[in-house]
Amino acid sequence: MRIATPFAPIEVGETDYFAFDFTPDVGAATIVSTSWTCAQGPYEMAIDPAPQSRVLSVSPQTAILVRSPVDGSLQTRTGVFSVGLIGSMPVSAAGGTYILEATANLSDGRLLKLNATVQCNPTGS
Amino acid sequence: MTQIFILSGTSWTVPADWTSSNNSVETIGAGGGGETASLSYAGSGGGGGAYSKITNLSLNGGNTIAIQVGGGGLSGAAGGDTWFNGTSISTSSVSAQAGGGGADNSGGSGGASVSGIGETKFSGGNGAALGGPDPWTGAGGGGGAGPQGAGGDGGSPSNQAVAGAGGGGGNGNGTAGGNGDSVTGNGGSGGNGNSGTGGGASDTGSGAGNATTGTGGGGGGGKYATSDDGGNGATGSEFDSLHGSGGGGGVGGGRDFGATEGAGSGGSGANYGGGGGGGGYPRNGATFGGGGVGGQGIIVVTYTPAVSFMITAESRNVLEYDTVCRKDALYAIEFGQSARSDGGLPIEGRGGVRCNTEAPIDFRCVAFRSSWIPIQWAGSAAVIVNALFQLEAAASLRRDTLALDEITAGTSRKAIGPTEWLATEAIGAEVAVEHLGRCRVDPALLSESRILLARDLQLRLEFLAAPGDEALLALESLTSGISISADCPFYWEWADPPSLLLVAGERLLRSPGRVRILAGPDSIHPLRGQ
Repeated sequence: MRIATPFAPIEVGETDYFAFDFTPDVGAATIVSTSWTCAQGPYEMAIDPAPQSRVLSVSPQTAILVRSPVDGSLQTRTGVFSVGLIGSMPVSAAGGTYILEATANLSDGRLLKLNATVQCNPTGS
Repeated sequence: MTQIFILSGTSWTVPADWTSSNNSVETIGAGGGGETASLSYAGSGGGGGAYSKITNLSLNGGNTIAIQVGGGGLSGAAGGDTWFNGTSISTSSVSAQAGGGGADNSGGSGGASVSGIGETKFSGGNGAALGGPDPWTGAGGGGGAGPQGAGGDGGSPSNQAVAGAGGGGGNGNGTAGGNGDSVTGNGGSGGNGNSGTGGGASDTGSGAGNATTGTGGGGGGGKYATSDDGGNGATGSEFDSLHGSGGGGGVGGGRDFGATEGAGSGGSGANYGGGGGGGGYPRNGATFGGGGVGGQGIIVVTYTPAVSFMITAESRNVLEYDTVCRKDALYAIEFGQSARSDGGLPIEGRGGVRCNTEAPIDFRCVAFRSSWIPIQWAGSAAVIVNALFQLEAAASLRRDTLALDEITAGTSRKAIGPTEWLATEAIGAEVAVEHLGRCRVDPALLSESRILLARDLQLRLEFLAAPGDEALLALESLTSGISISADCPFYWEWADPPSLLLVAGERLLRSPGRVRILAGPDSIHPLRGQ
């Protein structure tokens, strides 16, 4: 499933956690394992010779910390998440768009996918 | 206080818990042997050993040092000197000279205090001489010196032909042995020990008396014209009921005209440091009374064991830990410890026990060591989190006997609404038990508390407490009422759980949800206008 909303852009050289929330889909199941793919979008002029290497690590989580947009405090959000550590985009990839896709293997045998785009911006933009 | 009696050997290993600032070492030289009578003289007494003491000797725990414990002198021979931490009486940390052996018409000299090394020193009692060639009975041995004073001298027949034998001298701060009576022929009484009593009775016809056990008195002297042996000296009780400076031996009775029996032998000098009594001269000219042997020397080591308490922890969060314990029973004891870390680095805390009295304290505790350290712990602990919410937790572990383990734990949370969690469990000794409790409150403000206790038949205890909270919150831990004493193996480990991942809100996308159940042919569907 493609999520229409993209992730917030990532800068060249930046590394951060990205997460897909599978909670509405998993029901009573749990994530047994998860994997991520990272590819450049079609007709891209920006060049990344190894886009999959931008996926540094992945893990399923049942709780994550999210900073409140209201008061800036840290809040714990529980659910079923697939979290990937993404980053280290090369300078040549600036201006391009990546497609991040997470695959979740569920305990009830289902295999769910969610993907979204993320734009790569030059440093300091 | 720990007290060690060293009675033999040439080396000694300093205990690992040695404290150089609170100890004493005492030495007593061995007693000399009384002389065996000869054709020329009845036997003279042996001298008592000297006493020396030092305090706060600086030694390293675990090191091996050289020592000597003097052996008691045999008939007519001097005893052995006693020393500690060195190779001779003059090259050691503390030492005491032995008493000399009795010789012809010459009592053995008591060990001289000036020959030894120490802060407090006393000389041993001198063995008595006969006073001339006339007596048929011998002279008494000197008492060993002790912590309360010099040893008493032995008693003498004073060169009276028909006098009884002299008594043995008392131990340190005891009295001299009595002289033999030249009118009745009775022996002299043994000198009393340091407590003022205990000297052996003189021989008035029914035998010489031994000194009373535990008093340090000297043995009584034998009667003239008998074959009675002299009484033995007794060990004193200055150090404990079985250890103290020894009294000198009494003297054997002699036989003269009109009889054919042999003479009596001198009594033995008592442990530790008593001189032996001399032997009597026989009428038959063949069975000479043997000299009594001297009592052996001793080293007495007394010290307050070192105590320590260590906790090592690693935490990514700011951690403050503070404990205070006070026991106001018969003797006040204070225990204090504090450790603090600003995060990121391992912390290490050390504490100790202080006691201002002479009351015995047995306290040993080491945490975070893989070895099997015998520990018992009983007390309570509280963890308070003052951040987004307040969390209080309390836990106690108590083990009273081999048959019962008990753990109690509780948490309470004061925020949106109070939540309390309590658990109590009693465990039989022969059953392996695991106890796991978990408390979670409010999905938005997650707090986790886990306590695990496992106990198996090898008496292995594991205690794992892992308070969890939102990352980077300050933790404070307060503990009171902690008491630790050695008894059973214990292994304690405490660690923080991993923190949650922080994801920016704009980098968290939520699935819109998938609906894949289609309408059936009989269902009402707006597109079909039904």
